[in-house]
Amino acid sequence: MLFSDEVIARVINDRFEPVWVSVRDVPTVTIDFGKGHKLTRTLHGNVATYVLTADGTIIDVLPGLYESHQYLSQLNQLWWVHHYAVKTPEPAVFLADYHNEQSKAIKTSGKAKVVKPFADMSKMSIEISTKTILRSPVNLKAAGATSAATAPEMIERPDFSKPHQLKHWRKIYEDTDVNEHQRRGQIHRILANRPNAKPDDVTKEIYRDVLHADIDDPYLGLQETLFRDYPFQEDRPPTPDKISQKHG
Amino acid sequence: MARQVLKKVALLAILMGIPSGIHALANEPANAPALRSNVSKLPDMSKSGIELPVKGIIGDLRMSLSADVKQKTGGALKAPLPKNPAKTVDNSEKPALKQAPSLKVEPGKVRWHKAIQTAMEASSQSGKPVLLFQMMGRLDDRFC
Repeated sequence: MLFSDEVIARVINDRFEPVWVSVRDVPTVTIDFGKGHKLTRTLHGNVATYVLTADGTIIDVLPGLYESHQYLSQLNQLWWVHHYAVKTPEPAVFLADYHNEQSKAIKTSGKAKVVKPFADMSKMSIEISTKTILRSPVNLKAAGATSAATAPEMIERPDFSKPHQLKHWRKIYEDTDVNEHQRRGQIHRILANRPNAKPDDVTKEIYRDVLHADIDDPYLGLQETLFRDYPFQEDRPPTPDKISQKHG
Repeated sequence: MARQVLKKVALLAILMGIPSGIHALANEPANAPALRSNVSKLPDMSKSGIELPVKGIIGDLRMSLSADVKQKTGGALKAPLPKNPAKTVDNSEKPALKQAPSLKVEPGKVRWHKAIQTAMEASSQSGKPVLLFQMMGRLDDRFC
């Protein structure tokens, strides 16, 4: 849905080198009604958008699904963070500082700081630092930012066959708010301690601790729930304890 | 007399309950709130409104879905992941798309690189940052 949007696709194509990867299969449920009548749907499809330097160093991560305006706004800001980071003599120090500042801002005010764009770097008489490039969000509504509280037109029950209605689904705005005000803070804390991290270094941690989907576990951490009342003993997978005993 | 009435009410409640559970799982918007009200409250509800959390749904429906769970978890989840999933979005795989057209979709209007290494090489040439979109499932699958 997000990448079918003309504006988002154009911005991504113009300003980024995009690639998608699958971290694992998505869980699905199928109900077989017989006589060829089946219904399938996904249950849990968490996503994360990373912005990286050319050597794969993580600039920042947007966890989960975002409403399109916020997604564009965040991508634009991360483009600028990348722009500054690659120009500093010590990108790791700059990134650690950036993540620390954002983590503190979210913790204290509930909102991350906004990244200021400086197109002409030669006019910057002072050194690039988080103090010069970050500012507190003053009036998000006036700045065009949207959230579940400020979005002008939200649809409670969209027609799922109409993408323009899905864009304004209230649930997307609410998820965006949670991503920005809760999950993003966790991401900043992880990256503040590992400013040189590559995606492979933190993906499992992000999925397990931020997105609450342990991709190392074939049952996504749901084994106890799935098999607690399951009647067929022979189908039950070994518990993690038994697996470790077997290999130990 | 009163007992007979109670029995009828109980039978009616059972009959009404089964179809509503099926409709809720079928993600019919009209019934979605009814299912959500039964879903366990999680500390982090992000995306849970859009795709209901597995734990809530399975917790309520695991008995009725036990045969399906066995099939899904025994096969699909154990299948090895491709080393480079994005690379499989390639012209060479177009025939496969024709064989199962209903399961494959266009991954949006973004011009995706085929692999992260390719994107990083392009980034070092263009100076643009890499945008890496990670997901469960595949962007070119109908169910992703």
